[in-house]
Amino acid sequence: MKMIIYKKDDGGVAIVIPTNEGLEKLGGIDNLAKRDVPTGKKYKIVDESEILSDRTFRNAWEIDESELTDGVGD
Amino acid sequence: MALSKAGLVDVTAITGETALASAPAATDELLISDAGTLKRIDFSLTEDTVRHAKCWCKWESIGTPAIEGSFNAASITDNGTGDTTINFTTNLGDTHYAVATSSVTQSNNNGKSDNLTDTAVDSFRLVYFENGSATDARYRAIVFGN
Repeated sequence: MKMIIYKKDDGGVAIVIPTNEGLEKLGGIDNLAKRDVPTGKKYKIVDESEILSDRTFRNAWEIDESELTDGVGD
Repeated sequence: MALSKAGLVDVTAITGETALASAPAATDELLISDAGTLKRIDFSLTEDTVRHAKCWCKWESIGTPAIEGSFNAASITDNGTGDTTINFTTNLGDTHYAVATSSVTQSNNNGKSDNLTDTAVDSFRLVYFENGSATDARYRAIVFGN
């Protein structure tokens, strides 16, 4: 399963998890990302396996903005 | 469309019709029977009288976040520990909707609360607390509104 990550205003990382309904009705993950990622935020589409399952320090996760190369939220 | 008996529609004989790919328009009309007398009603009137949940979602943020079931939820956004935004597939008519939530206790019931914020026509945000701290858990939400 594909997920979408972007950098929040506070520097942390947000993860968008699509539903099948969303993917179907919005026409795929690219369209969903553009709609559900905040306006102007760069994002990256990643595989679920790339997301850490250990959330002990979830609020300390960071991402370098240079890695968010798949698009920008509308 | 053919009628098998006076005033009654033979559903097996409905042919050549186009199946709707989405909800009917507000001005589309439905036929109903009033003691055998056919009457028509705008679809919008049925929406006014029959209220359905505008959205529901069951998800968890223990380990990798996962959505276990939903309706009118295009996605959820994991904002951090115990902090989730539900993004509607179809926007609601206004922000005066009601959200019922429940969360499965992870450690104990002290200081347990569901804090609903950022209610917008396209999404709402839920932060779950136990002992005064945001906590990852399993959640359910139901939305009623316009």
